[in-house]
Amino acid sequence: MAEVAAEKKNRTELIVAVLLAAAVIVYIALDCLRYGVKEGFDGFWERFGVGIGAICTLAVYSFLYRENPIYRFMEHILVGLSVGYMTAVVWTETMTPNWLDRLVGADGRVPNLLWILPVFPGLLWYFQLSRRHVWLSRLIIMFFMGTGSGLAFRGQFSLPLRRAGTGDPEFQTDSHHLRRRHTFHLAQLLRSRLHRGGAVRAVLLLLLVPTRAEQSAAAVEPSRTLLFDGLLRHDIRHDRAGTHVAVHRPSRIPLPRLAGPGFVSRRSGRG
Amino acid sequence: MAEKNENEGNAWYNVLQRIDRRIISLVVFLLVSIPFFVSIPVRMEISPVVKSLYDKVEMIAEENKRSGEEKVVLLAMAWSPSVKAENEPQTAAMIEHLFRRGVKFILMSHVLPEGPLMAERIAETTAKRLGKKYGEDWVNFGYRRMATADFRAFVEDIYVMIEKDFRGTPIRDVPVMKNVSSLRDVALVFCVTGSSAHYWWIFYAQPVVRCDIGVGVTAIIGPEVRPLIDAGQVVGMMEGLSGAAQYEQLLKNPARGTRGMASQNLVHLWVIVAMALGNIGYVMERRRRKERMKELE
Amino acid sequence: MRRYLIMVLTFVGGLYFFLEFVLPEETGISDMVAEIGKVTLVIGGFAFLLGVINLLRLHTAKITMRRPGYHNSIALMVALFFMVIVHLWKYYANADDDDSVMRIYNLLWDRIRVPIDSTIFSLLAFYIVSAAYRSFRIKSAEAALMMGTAVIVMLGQIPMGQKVTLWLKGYETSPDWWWLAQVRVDTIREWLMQVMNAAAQRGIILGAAVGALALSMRIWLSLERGSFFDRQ
Repeated sequence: MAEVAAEKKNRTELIVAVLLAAAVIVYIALDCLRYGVKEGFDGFWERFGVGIGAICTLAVYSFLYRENPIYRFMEHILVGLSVGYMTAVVWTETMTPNWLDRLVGADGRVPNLLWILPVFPGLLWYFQLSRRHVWLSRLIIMFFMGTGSGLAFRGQFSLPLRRAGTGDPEFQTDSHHLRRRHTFHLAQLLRSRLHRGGAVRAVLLLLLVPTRAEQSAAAVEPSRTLLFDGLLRHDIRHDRAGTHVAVHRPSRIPLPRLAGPGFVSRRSGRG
Repeated sequence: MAEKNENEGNAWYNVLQRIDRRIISLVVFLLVSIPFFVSIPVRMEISPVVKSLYDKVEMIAEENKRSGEEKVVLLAMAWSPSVKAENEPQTAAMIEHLFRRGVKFILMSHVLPEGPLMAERIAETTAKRLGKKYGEDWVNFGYRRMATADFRAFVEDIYVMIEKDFRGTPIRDVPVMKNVSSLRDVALVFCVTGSSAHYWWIFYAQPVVRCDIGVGVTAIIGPEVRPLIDAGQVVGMMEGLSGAAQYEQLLKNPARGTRGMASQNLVHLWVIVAMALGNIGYVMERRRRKERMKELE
Repeated sequence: MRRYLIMVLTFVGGLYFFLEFVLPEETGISDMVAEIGKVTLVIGGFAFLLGVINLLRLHTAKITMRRPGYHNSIALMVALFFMVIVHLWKYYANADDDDSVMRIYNLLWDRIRVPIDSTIFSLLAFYIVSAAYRSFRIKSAEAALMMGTAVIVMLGQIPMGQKVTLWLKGYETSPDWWWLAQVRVDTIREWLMQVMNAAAQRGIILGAAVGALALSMRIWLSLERGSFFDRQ
C-alpha cells in the first residue's frame, strides 16, 4: 500500500518535472526565434545563451526539491568545464610565457636552452601515478613543502608583527634588527627545545621573550608588545639613537562614542 | 493513548517546528525574486570600514591631483564565479569610483584565473559609459599563477614576473605602467576575494613595500578581517553585498549591490521570522510537556 | 637512503627563503629571489596535467565498465576536452570578439560555467536558512545569547532593520539623551563586529599563526611524521 502510494507520488513528480521542463524549453525556443527574426543571428545567439543559462540555473535549483539526475549531470558538466579551463589557462598563462617562450626564444628573444633543466624536476610530479616509483614524486613534493615552510616564516611573523611607521622618516621599524634578534633566539632554541619536540613552546618563547639587552632598556618589551599589538595598540619604533620606543596608537576606526557632548576626559583633556 | 500522541504530533506548536525544508526554500526563492519585479528602495547607514576605504581612494585621487604624480591602484581579483553575487558588485563599485576620480588601476590575479576575466568585462562596460580607454586608464595583467617564491619576486619588481598584459601587449608599452615598476608605486592594493587571498598581500607584500591594503570580501570572511583593520594592516573593507551597496550609496550610483540588498533585506527578515516560529513552537511544546508531567503526578 | 635524500631536499628547499628572511639585505641574498621565483614557478607549473590524468583514469574506468551514471562521466570528459580545445584555439588564433570561436567560448563560460558555479554556491544560502530554522532553539542562556546576537547582526546590516532604530539618531546632540543615539541596531552591530568579534578572531589568528610556524619548522627540519616522510 505504502509502495503503491510512493510509486504514484514518484510518477506524479516525474510528470510535473517533464511538463515544467517542456514549458521552459518551449518558451526559450520561441524567445530565440522571435529575436532571430527581429535581429538576425546575433539576436538569436544572444537569446540562446540566455536560455541556456536559465536552463542550467533551474536545473541546479532542482536540487532543492530532491537529488535528481539532472542536477548530477550539471555537476559533472561544471567539473569538466572547470578542470578543462584550469588546464588550458595554466598552459597559456603560466607555462607558455614563463617557460616555452624563453626556451624557444619567442618574440625576438634569444633561445635559452638552460630552460630545458626545469623539465626534469617538473616530470617528477608524474611519478605519483606509478606505484613502484612513487618515491620519486616525494622528492619534488617535499622540496616544495620545504620551500613553503621557509616562506611561512616571513608570512606568519608578519601577521602578529604589524607593519609600523607609514612613511615617517624618524620612526621606522627596523625589521632587520628584529629578525637578527629572533635568529639569535631561534639558534638557541633549536639546540635545546626542538630536540625535545617542543616546537610550539619554542615558537612562543621566540615571540615572547626579549633579549637581555632590551630588558635593560626603558622601552616596553618589544616582542611581547608586538605580539599583542592589536590589543595594546603600541607601535614599536626606533628613534634616531636606535632605542626602541613604544608609541601609543589610537584606533583608526571610530567606535560608538562612549561619552556625550561636553565630556572632557581626565586623561587626555579631550572629549 | 496513541491517538492522543498523534494529536499532540499534529498540534500547532509541533507543526511550527516541522515546516518542510522545501517550503522554507520556496519562500526564500520567492522573496529573492520579488525585487526583480517590484522596486524596493534601499537606503543604508554607512559602516565606518566602508567609509574608510572610500576616503582612502578619495585621498589617492586628491594626492595625485596635488602632486602631479600618478599613483595607481592594484585590483587583485582573487574571486571566481561561485562568489560572483558578492564580489562582482564590490569590483564594479570600486572600478566606477576609480574611473570617476581618474585614478588609474591594474587588474590582475595570481590565485584564481577567472577574476581578471570577469573584472575586465565590468571595466569595459563601465569604460564605455564613462569614456575611458584601455591602456590609458587601466591595464589588465590577466592571470599569472604565482607560488609564494614568485610572489615575493613580483612584489619587488613587477616586470620580473609579468611581461605582457592579457592582450599580449608588453606592459612596458602600456601608458598606465609609465611610472610603475614595483608595488612601491602602487598607492593601494584592493583585494577582492571569497577566500583568504588577502593574506598573500598582508604576509608578503605589505612588510616589504609598506603598501596600503583594502579588501572586498564575502560576508563570511568579513569577521576575520576586523582585527586586521584594527591593527592598521587593512585600511578599509567592503563586507559582502551590503558593503558593496553602501559603497554605491557613497558614490550615489545604485547598481548591482543596491539591487541585491533589496532581496537580502527580505530574506534576512524571513530568517528571523523562521527562527521565531521555530522557537515559539519549541517553547509552547516545553510548556505543554511540563503541564502533562504535572497532570501525571 | 631515500629518506635522507628527501630530508636534505626538504631542508634545501626552505633554506634559501629562511636565510632571505633573517639575513640583512646588505648580504645581497634577496637579489636572487626573482630568478628562484621564476624557476620554482615553472617546476610547479609542470604538475598541471596531474589532475586531468587522475580524473580521466577514474572516469574512463567508469565508462568502460558501464557503472551506474557513466553517461555523466561521458559528459564530463566531453566538457573537459571541448573547453581545452576552445581555449587553446582562441589563444593561438588571437580571436576577436566577433569570431565564432569567441562566441562558443563566451557561451561555455558566461552561459554555462558561470551560472552553474554561482547557482551551486547559492544553494548554500537556502541550506543556511533551513539550518537556522531547525537548529536555533533557545535551550539555554548561551543559546539565547547566540540567537540574540545573530538577530542584531542580521538586522543591523539590512536597510529595513536599520530603519527600526534610525529615529534614535536625532538624539545625538541632546545633552541628556545623547546615549540613545548609540543604541541603534547598526551601531551595536558595528561594536559587536569591531570589538567582541575582532578580539575572538585575533586570538584565533594568533593561535593559528603560532601553530603554522611550529608546523613549518617541523616540516622544514623533517621532524614531522606522515606518509611523505616515513614511507618509501
